Amino acid sequence: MSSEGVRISMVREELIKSMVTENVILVSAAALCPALAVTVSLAAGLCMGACLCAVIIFTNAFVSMLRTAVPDRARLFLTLLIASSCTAIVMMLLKTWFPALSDRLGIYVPLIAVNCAVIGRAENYAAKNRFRRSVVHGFGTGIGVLLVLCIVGGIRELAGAGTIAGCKVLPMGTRVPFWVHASGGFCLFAVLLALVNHLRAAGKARASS
Amino acid sequence: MNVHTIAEIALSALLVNNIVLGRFLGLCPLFSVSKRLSGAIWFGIAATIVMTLSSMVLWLVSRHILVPLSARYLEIAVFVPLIAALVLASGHALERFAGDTFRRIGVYFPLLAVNCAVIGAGLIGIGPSPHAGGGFSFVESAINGFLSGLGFLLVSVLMAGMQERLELTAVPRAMRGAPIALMCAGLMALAFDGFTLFSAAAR
Amino acid sequence: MIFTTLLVLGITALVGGVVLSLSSHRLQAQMNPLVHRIERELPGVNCGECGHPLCGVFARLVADGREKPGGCIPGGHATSVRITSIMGNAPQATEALMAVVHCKGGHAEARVRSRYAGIPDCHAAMLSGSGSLICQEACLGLGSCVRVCPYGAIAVTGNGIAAVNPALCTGCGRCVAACPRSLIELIPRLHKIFLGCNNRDHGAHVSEYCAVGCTTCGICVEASRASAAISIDDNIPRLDYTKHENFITAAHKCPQKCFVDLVRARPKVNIDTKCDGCTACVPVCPVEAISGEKNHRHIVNKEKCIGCGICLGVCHVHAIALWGGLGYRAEGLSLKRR
Repeated sequence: MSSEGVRISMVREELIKSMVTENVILVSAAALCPALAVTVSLAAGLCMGACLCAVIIFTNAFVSMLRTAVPDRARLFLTLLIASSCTAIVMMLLKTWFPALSDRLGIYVPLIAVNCAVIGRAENYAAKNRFRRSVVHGFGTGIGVLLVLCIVGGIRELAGAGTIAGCKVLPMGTRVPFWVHASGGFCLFAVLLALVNHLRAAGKARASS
Repeated sequence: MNVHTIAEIALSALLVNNIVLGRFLGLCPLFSVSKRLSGAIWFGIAATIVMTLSSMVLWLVSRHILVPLSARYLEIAVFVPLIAALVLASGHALERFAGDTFRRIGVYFPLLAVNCAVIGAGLIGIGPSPHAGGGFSFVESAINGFLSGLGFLLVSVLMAGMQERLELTAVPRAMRGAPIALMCAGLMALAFDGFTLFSAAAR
Repeated sequence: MIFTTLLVLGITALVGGVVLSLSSHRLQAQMNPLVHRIERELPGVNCGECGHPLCGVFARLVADGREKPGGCIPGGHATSVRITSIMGNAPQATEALMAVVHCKGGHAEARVRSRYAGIPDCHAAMLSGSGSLICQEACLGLGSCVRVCPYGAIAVTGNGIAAVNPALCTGCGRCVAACPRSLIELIPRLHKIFLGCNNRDHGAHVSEYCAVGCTTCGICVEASRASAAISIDDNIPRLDYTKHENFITAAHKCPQKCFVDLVRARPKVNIDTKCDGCTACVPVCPVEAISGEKNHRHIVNKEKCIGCGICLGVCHVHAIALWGGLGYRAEGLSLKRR
């Protein structure tokens, strides 16, 4: 009975930590490459987020399983092998089931293998924690990334093209192509990160006062 | 292969589809390393060397090993560990054996070993080319890699200059660090968008 | 297909592994053993805040003595303290430093000649008229140093000048570069007294525009004559912290009170019953606080005593001790008993 309770609270704590307090994109400002490149539409953001989530979970799982079997110096190389194999599998599945999206995402899907989120979390977290914890943490990280990509993708698609998931929502005249371009992505992310910083600082001030 | 194609590839890699501002690769180390101008210059040079080598190696491995075995699906699974091992090993070798200048470059190799820009430059080199029919040749791929690296150096130096200035200004508390750097990058990307005039086949 | 996959992946892993292990074997033998210990203390996020790309690079530079331990921002004060203690065990130890601002003259002491109403930044003020005080080497109090400090250790006081909180300062040195008047200096952490003036002017008229300004009278040089720790250079006293001198006498004797003493309450000297009345301590006291007849126990006037500790050194029966006070370290300075 008590082990069940411990397990649920551990899961909840890990999930909150990985999704919110240590969200890879919003707090650590890592894994920005796919986040900026791919989020021109909601569908692309969702797809990329799902792929990232899958790779993060599996990489965390395998690295955590093998963490005691491998000497320190070789661990990075092992992480890379695992991450790139997972990415290759995800790529093949994507090409089979969603070929159009796979073409649109282009080179960013194979680049999941060297994504800062994947490698960083595997090195700093999965290498030091037990299997269950790592998997839950990986799941939370992946869902956090997925949510951010969806939100940003949705905003950029709505503001830039007036559509959501391909359906025209706003009249053609109100769209601002700036948001769909590279510069719009950078600026939107700057504002988003600034907002998150502000909220965190406000939260910290409230907690200490 | 004519000069026209080479010039097109060069301009595309350097300006039109700049690897940082056009393709969004290599952002993570850029914001942290380009806080000082000297560091940014050496980092850019290291990135150029690594990207050129990576393009060449990946092209060779893909065309001469994976394609004959019809194992192109294994591309990413082979590229990442291979490039990481090569770059890390050459970084160690440079630090141990080389003189002062090369040691300064070698310091950045571990950071570049697992970097989206390096693998990305290689992947672009073997992907479908908008200029030629089937894809880049070896030399074209190497040129693409070299000039992507130069584009990275360019952006790195620009960001460093901006960040050094930003250190002395009164940035609002929430915008300090990554947000203001991203905003600067966004404005630079806006400027670089103007270069699309150079390329008729721009994205 | 499965065979090809396994073959290719296996060969990649083998090649990569062999290359990496060979190269790392060659490298590991050459590294300073301290580097590993320092690197373990660092957070390992490779954020670049210290100005170097990797935590490993920073660790290597600290071990070689080319970087100060306080450079790691995410690690914070605790990491800097731990790294300093690691370095302290090695032959070439880097001394723990803290920043001090060489200016005491704020609103209460220094006179103004104008009102600066421009951009609230010291560099901007320097470019456009050099601030509002008469003294051209004073602290402008507009906070350029405050903005660059990652630990929040320096702040502009209510008196309008910048001051460093020694508890938070890690000696990273960013404020030193940020001050346009080069007012900030890194001094060894053990020393609690420094000069609170930076002006190159000399003469009595200095006191007309700053009540705590240095007039280059030379009294402090005279007060520390025995150790020759203070010298005048370009009309400003320079304190040599490598000499065996705690500067308490000089700080006390300064007529303009230019020195800043970070210790709020200095301990006072007490003479106990072991005293045999040899009167050796009476002439060395700079403030003539010790009195007594020959062969009788001497007494200390606690009101006059400044706690400089010179008398401890001359007592041959070790009858003198320092009592009370805050923050005074016995192993630091001229309190070493002979």
